[in-house]
Amino acid sequence: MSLMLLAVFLGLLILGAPVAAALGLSSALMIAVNGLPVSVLAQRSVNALDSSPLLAVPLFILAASLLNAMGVTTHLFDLVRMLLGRIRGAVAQVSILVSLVFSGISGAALADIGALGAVQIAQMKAQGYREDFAAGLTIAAATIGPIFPPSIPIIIYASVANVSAVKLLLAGVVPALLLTALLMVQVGMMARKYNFPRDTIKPTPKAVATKFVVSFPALLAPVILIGGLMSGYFGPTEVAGVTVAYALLIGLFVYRSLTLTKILTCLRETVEATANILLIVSAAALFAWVLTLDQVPMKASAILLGISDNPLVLLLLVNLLLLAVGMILESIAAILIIAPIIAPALALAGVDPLQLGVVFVLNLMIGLLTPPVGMSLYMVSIITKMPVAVVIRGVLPFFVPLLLALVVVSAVPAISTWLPNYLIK
Amino acid sequence: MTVKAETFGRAVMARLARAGMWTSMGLLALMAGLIITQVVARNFFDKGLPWADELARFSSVSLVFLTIPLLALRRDMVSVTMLPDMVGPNLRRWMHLIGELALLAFAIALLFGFSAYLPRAGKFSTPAMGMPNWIFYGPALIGTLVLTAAALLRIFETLTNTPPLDAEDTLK
Repeated sequence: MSLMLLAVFLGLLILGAPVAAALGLSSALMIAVNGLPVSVLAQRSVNALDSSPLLAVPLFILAASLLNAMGVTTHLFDLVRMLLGRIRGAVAQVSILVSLVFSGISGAALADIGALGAVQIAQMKAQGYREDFAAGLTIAAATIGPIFPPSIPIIIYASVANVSAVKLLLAGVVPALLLTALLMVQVGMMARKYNFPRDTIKPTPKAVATKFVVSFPALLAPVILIGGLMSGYFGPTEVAGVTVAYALLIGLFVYRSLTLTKILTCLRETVEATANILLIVSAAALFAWVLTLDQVPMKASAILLGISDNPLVLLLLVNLLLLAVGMILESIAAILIIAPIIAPALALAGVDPLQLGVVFVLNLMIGLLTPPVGMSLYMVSIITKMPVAVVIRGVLPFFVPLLLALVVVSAVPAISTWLPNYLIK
Repeated sequence: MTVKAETFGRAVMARLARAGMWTSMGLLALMAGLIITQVVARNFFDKGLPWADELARFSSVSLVFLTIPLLALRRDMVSVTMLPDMVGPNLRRWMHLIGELALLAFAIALLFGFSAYLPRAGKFSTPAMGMPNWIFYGPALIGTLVLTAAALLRIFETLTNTPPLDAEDTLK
């Protein structure tokens, strides 16, 4: 049954059917063919969305959309440029750091590219960087977003793998910082080799101070968000709600740049993005149910544990599997289908669920950079009007730091587990 | 005659999709307000609000199903377009048709699911608010009905080589 299910699903997916329809229709066919109750279709697809942790998804998207609409990204970019301007390859390094700061507000790689991509690429091109490098770096830096809290893929992973969402979000902090550092080292090396320019900006201390004051309310947003999670005072959904309230307050009363039209646009964009993501969640719940009925998780556990019971070997196998899956499957669907299958086996072998969650999401985010389903590649291609082949050429050098980060996070569990276990006993 | 039917169908569906989107935007604002109210009630008044959580979840479920018809009409649902983008326009049109047919079949399957599930589940109410399940599942059912109609229209339009609605059509 499961092989037929996968064949129908992949066939529809390759032909360009909506991911949710491919998941839902293949599941419905299996339910009908095997004489299972059709009421499951309505019950499972609605109940999958009737979840408190998933409320964080639209709220994080809304918060990022509001902060972006009030022009915060430009302030952040300018401030970091002023601080780092005199080092070689400054604008490229600024792009990475701004991605890290913005990832503390947004929860999705594609949202980061949407908000920052155009500004980052335009700045780099204006200073003489090659366009493929600018595009590649922007895409690579956007992978930081879904690892650093808040993260929509991590919230969804936590909900299907029965892991604490707060702990898993905190587990992403150190790996995201590691990834940032590795990307900066890579850019530093390329800057020396290709003689990248220093920034043309020469700010006075007064200008930096003024820009800092202007940017301060925006810089506080990630502090509130991550501080709220770390304190244990708020859950992910509550902290998302507080961030929305904070964004509205500073947009209306501090920056005074949020108009009713802008707020309505943010609501519309959020509703559209949420519906797209959560319908996939809903259909994938059906798909996962059919797989469970066919005992696929148990069979996969037996196969995996039959190969080895060494956590490192299993993590290596999972990495290879997820890198391949990330190339052909949309990331949210991949989490919902694969996580319930492999998480139990790895837990039995002694892999920490927090480490597995971070490894899982990092793998799938690298998948966003690989054709044929590399959504980030297409998004940058659309924004910049660059051919996808040029974007792919630009992203190639950045696989080195991304894969290195993956190896380190897989080999050293403490990188993911130390912070959440230290903060939450 | 064909053009008229197509134009009429498109106008009706665009209105329905727009109504769904505006309702969803209202539900999103309500959801955000409810979560903030919960935070305030819990931290300042030491009071839990299970009804607010339930209403927020109802809003979340509803907004997904009420917005999907709009995305279907615009062919904006997440899909892997690598192969359709690589082939010629005629073959691409057939691939789009298969995608629209898959969406229609999925929507019809969901309607079958609702018809089997709701007569029994509809007799019960939600735990916190006592909202009848018919109301809780109502927007999802309405959204699925509109999605079915939207998928039918898209099939008709794909066969007649009419492009999907663009963002402007659904904003007017």
